[in-house]
Amino acid sequence: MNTTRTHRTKAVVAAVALLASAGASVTARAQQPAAPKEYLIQNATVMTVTKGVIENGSVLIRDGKIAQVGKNLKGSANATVIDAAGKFVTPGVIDCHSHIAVDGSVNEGSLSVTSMVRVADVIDPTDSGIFIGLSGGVTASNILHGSANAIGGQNAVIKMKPNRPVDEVIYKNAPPGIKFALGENPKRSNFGGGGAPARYPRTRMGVEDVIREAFTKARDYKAVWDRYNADVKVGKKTAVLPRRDLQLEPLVEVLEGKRLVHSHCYRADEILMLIRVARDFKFRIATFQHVLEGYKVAKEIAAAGAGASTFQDYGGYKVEAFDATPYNTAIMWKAGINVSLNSDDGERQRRLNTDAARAVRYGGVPEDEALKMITINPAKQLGIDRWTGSLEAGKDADVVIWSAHPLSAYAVAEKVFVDGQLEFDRQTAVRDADARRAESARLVEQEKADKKAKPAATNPDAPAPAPKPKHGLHHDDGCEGGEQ
Amino acid sequence: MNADNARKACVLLCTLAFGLTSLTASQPALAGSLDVWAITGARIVPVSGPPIEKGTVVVRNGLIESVGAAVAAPADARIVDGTGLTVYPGLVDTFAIVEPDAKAEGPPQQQGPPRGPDRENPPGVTPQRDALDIVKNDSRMEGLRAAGFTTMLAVPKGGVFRGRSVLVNTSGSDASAMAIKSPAALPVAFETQGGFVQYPGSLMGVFSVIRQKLLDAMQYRQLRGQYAASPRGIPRPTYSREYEALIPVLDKSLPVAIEANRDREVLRALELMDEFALSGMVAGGRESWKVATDLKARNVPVLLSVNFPEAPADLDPETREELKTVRDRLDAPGCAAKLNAAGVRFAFQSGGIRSPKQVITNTAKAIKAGLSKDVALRALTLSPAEILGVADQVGSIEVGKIANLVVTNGDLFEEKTKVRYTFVDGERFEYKEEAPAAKPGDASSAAVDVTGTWDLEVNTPEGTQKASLELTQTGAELKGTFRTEMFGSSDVKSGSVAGKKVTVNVGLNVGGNSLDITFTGDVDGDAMKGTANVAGQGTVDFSGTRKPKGGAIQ
Repeated sequence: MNTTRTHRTKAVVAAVALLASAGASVTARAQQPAAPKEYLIQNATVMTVTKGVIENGSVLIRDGKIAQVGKNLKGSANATVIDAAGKFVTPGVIDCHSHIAVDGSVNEGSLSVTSMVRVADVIDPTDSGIFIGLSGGVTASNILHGSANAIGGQNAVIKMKPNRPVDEVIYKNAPPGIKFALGENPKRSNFGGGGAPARYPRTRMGVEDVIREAFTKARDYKAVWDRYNADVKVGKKTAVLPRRDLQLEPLVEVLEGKRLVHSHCYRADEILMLIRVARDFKFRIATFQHVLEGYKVAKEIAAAGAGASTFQDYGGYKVEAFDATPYNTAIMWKAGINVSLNSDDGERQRRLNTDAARAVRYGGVPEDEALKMITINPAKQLGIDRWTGSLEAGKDADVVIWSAHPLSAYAVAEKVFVDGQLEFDRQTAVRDADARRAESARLVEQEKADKKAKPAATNPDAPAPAPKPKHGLHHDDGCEGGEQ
Repeated sequence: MNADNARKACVLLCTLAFGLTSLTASQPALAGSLDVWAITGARIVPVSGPPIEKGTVVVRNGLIESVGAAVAAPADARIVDGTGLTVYPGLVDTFAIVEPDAKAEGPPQQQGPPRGPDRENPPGVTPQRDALDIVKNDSRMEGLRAAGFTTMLAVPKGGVFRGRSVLVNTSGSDASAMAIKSPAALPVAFETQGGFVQYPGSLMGVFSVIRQKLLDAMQYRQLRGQYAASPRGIPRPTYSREYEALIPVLDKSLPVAIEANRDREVLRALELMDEFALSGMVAGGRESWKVATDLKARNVPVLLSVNFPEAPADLDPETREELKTVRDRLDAPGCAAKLNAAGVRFAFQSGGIRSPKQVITNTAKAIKAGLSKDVALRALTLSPAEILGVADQVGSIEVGKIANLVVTNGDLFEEKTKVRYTFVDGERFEYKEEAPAAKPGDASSAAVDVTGTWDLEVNTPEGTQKASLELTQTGAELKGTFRTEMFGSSDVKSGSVAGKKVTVNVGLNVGGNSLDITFTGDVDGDAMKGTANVAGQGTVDFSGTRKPKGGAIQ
């Protein structure tokens, strides 16, 4: 085989495999030869998060799972051995609030209750956001609906596997969840209507009313179905099949404790409001998201058994975010709340480890606890801690090799495994980025030459080029949707 | 002009005009030689079988009566000399968006202040809409016929559930006469309805709308059945045109045609079909080759758009396009070949290209990218017919099928090739070869000298009309006189010779009005053969012979 061509083919395959923005097919990787199934990481400082730190430790990865964590482990003859001397190994970072990898808007912003929409329907595994997050050691993300409505859409927890088929990206172990939002975004304080008639609610009182009304309807809906099922059971011929209502079904699941509520919020009063609503309707709040005034009502949040997923030190970008403090994390942690640090942003996502470090700096959260805030704590909030979030035998092999202590500002993720596959390798990624640029230039030149050789009749109706792919970037307050 | 002449004028006009009307009438006439054609001596590409290098296709009453090398033209047939020409089955555009005239739609129904988002009745959910109400035999159809398209799947524009599509022929008195299959498929598009203003304003909202509507239709179907079986004690279900239109889809008696171009869009379309056990197809399919295995596994065909993306003409040279964008563009024409190799069924469609000729030009790009010409032709003819379940009616040149044919002067996919005739439901449309404009005095463009007096026989449906044409050629320019027994003589208004092709325009004086007739013919020695276009209304055949020198009309 022609050497040049082999090289080119290899470069292309590598680019496809590793760079999401290379626009690989969602199935292309599945057709690649199977990657090594066993890795042995040796001589590293292994930070298990749940079982302490092992100096000169090893992690054995086999068939997608962590086979063993300990000292002087031996792999089989097939194991790819990675010498990680001087490096740190942690479980993959988990981001409990993200909007990457979504096709179309993250907001179904039309109605105040959009519980019928599902983020899982529109996941884009080729979004470069997955690759960017992965490069910061993130192995799982909670992809949430936006915050434009009091009750938003259903979330999807994804594993950060660039360009894999959607089926492999969406994390099946994760229990279903739903986004709620309180305050300025659902009452549309900061956004033009885009020509739309004013939408109810326009006040915080209205937001509460919308949520209460929705759950009242959901309760009635459940009663209708219960009655119908009972009628059918006794053979009542005139029983009339009720409508299946996709808006109310997920709310019934919330009432039945089968669906996790992740509620965007800022102010202490609205946090207390949702706690009251949840008590009245007897459902549990899985997480308060952002929760910048959580420090004011930390006791109440803890008592409600809700988690808190916050920005470490980011606030002041709108009125309801003015009372933010970087000590929020530490105060909530001290009150016994399960705290995680999230990004809400495709850029911040790749440096959540430094956010964890700042939790140590502001308020003195112990290092191991800070590390939990980006690993096992969000895993608990998402109900996936049985499978990921720490380095323990039997768990998914979501593993990061850091160049330095992960709470150091100098630490970069060098290798990231997701489900036992080496999804990110900094060395090859840099090389592949160059190959990709060269490939792009070569193709453009080739296209120009072809056109010159045989100018085809131009077609005035040719489709417009696709809009520039948007990354799951920070949705700032000026943004129509309103995420944070 | 006396009364007698006026009567005669009427007779001729009627003769000519009636003939033309019959020719252009969209409904197949019931009997008579008018509807019998024999295309003789042509290369025939039936698609369903191997090409016939020299043969005859006989068309009678809108159907193909016979085809073959040994077939003789019936005595009552009008002859189309197919020497040097190729006959193909009529082409099909398997996904052509149609939209009603703004006028026909009437004023918008919504009065008063703008309506807010409505979860129960979102815009874009109009499965009960029918393309049959939109299709017309208009200038668009004329353009399609001229490029050889005899059939198209008319798809209503806009919306999520867009309405019933209908497979029509490109000629006919009205939509009903044009229809081959109605409904043919129910088009679905993942199309949002307006940001924060209308529901669904997001792609995920679109999926919710589709699910909810199909679930509602399922509930409606059940209640309808239950009520029909035993109405007593049950509230009467409210009749719904919307759900009635969706039930055939749920019952799999009507396929969905889901628009999807990106690979993951195609997968979403397939998953939707799986979720509701729908039968269907994918329309667009630009990246469908990437998920060919998934398509093959479910035996879902692709209505593949040939509207390939092109490099932006005005791209800033400093701009570096994303590799993804460049790759998608370069890969697009190769999709068909890859689908074919993977065993995925597909048919071509225009994908929004307005020029039907461009559709063929772009199909040629798919051939250049590796698709065989045979398969490409099939994807424009028999494959769409098979996919849409009408392979017994159209798509190939076989006895008994609808006489949809296109006759070209060469290989269909060659850029230079011109359509000479298109037959739709056995109705013939003729397209003149555009003669290069002859410059007066330029003798080099004329290969013949047609100076002399020609006796013409014009074959009108009412019989042969005689006339004579006295021509004087100077270079490529012609002057002269046209005479008929009934109307006397008139001067040749303009005339030219290009190669062996003669074009003569005369103004016949009929009761003080000028009736414009253009003769276009090929000269072979002292013989001339061609067509006469009368007042732009239609054409009839004529032939002529040159009188020996010195002869004069009496």
